[in-house]
Amino acid sequence: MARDDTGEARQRTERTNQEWIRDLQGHGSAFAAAVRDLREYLLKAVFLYYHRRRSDLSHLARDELAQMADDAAQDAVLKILDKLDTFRGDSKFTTWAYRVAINQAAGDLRRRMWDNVSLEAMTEAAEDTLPPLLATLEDPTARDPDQRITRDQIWALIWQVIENEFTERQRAVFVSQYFNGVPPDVIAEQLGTNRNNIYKISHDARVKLKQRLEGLGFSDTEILATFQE
Amino acid sequence: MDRLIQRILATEDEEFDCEQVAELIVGYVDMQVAGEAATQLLPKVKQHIGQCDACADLYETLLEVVLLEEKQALPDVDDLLDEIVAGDVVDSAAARPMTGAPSLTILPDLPDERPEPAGDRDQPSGALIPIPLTRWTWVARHAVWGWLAAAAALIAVVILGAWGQSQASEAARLRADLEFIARAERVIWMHGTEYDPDATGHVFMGNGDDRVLLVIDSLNPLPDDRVYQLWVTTETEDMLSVGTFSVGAEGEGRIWTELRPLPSNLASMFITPEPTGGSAHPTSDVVCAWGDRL
Repeated sequence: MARDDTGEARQRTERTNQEWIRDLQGHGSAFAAAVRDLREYLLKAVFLYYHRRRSDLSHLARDELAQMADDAAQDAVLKILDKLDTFRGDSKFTTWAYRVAINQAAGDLRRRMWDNVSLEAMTEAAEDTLPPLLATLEDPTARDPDQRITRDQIWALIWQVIENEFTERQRAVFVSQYFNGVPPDVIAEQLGTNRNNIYKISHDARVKLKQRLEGLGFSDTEILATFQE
Repeated sequence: MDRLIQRILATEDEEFDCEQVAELIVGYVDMQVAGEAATQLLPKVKQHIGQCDACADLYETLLEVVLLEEKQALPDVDDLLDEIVAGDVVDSAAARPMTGAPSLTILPDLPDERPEPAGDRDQPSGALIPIPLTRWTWVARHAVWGWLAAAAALIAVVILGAWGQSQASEAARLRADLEFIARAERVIWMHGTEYDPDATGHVFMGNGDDRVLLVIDSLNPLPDDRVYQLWVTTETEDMLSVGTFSVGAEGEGRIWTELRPLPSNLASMFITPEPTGGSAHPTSDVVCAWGDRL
């Protein structure tokens, strides 16, 4: 529960967009109370993000997690104060602020998890191991032999396109992203570009694969049914 | 790997990139929480979220946080920290029946049919309608439908409202439900009939998931010797009992099932009051329905 200028208790959610901006641009107790309230909100958003990613965090001690969350919320508050004048007021202020905090938490976690990963090594390793890996996915117990054949045909085509028709950059992005689960920001950093470009490269690769799959003559429904068996 | 296939097939020639989605995601979430047809107005945001795990992660967390804030149900950070450190598995908690609606009986003989492929599902699609943010509300009121956003937001609010005083474990279940709702690929919206006009029901079907979430609101509570029973019919006129359930004092219910895949050719879903234990066939008037039973 926050307190306003008059010292009366008030629900944090009672602040309107205008009040948030006014208080965060102000001075004295109103500013301090707004920063404290904002930080409390953002801390919850950070923890809710961690909660969704708890399988990635289970090895951390409670104190370490708490410190990580504190740092993320604090950094998010600073970023929000820094770009307060870019808030256009066409959404809820807290929603806008949560986005900053969640991005901060996601970025921090990503750096922790992927700090020492070599994309090049990962792609090379994947190219050696993917064909056998894909072969193991060909489920011999599938009830319908026709579906099994269709599935094998699709996987063979996908691999052929990845190996022979993708550019080197497309292959690195696609394999890292979809087979190794590397976040686009990490790929971008290692390839010296930005996340938007990674999305575009990945999109071009998917378009190419989709066109080649369409060439097989199966409908989308048939393909999906084959893989949902 | 089937997820990769789905992504390839769902690829569009023109897609929003991450920067464009980052610009719109806050308004998109606010629209959803307000029950507005976000997916119809901004189909390309939804499409991008389906392709980009990083943006999906942001979107799902943002939606969860904003919905919880909306109902002043943001959890205590110590509780969250406890759950993270304890490795609490919220997903399995979600599978537990709701408090106050304890009995869901899954009848054993549902046919083993393949789920409806994602490609056939009635998702809204089309080009982005370029509407200034300040006009979204007006336009949304005149939109015909945008079921996923509207239904997910509405039901999430109903859930949260009904359990506004929830304990930490209930809050964890709520979060898990919201995760499921946010990912749901199909929503069936049931309406009350003349016998219970205020009743509503939503059935959320998962993303590659056999679980089904039934969310009920404003069904008339029944005497102790009666339960509600959910039925489905198919286009081939088969009738199946999905299960029985009770509702809370306000007619609310939130019930999980782990049905084997529902028939792809659903013609109707409907609810009837039945004796405790359920019936082999409906014996009472339909109180809430979707499809040709409405």
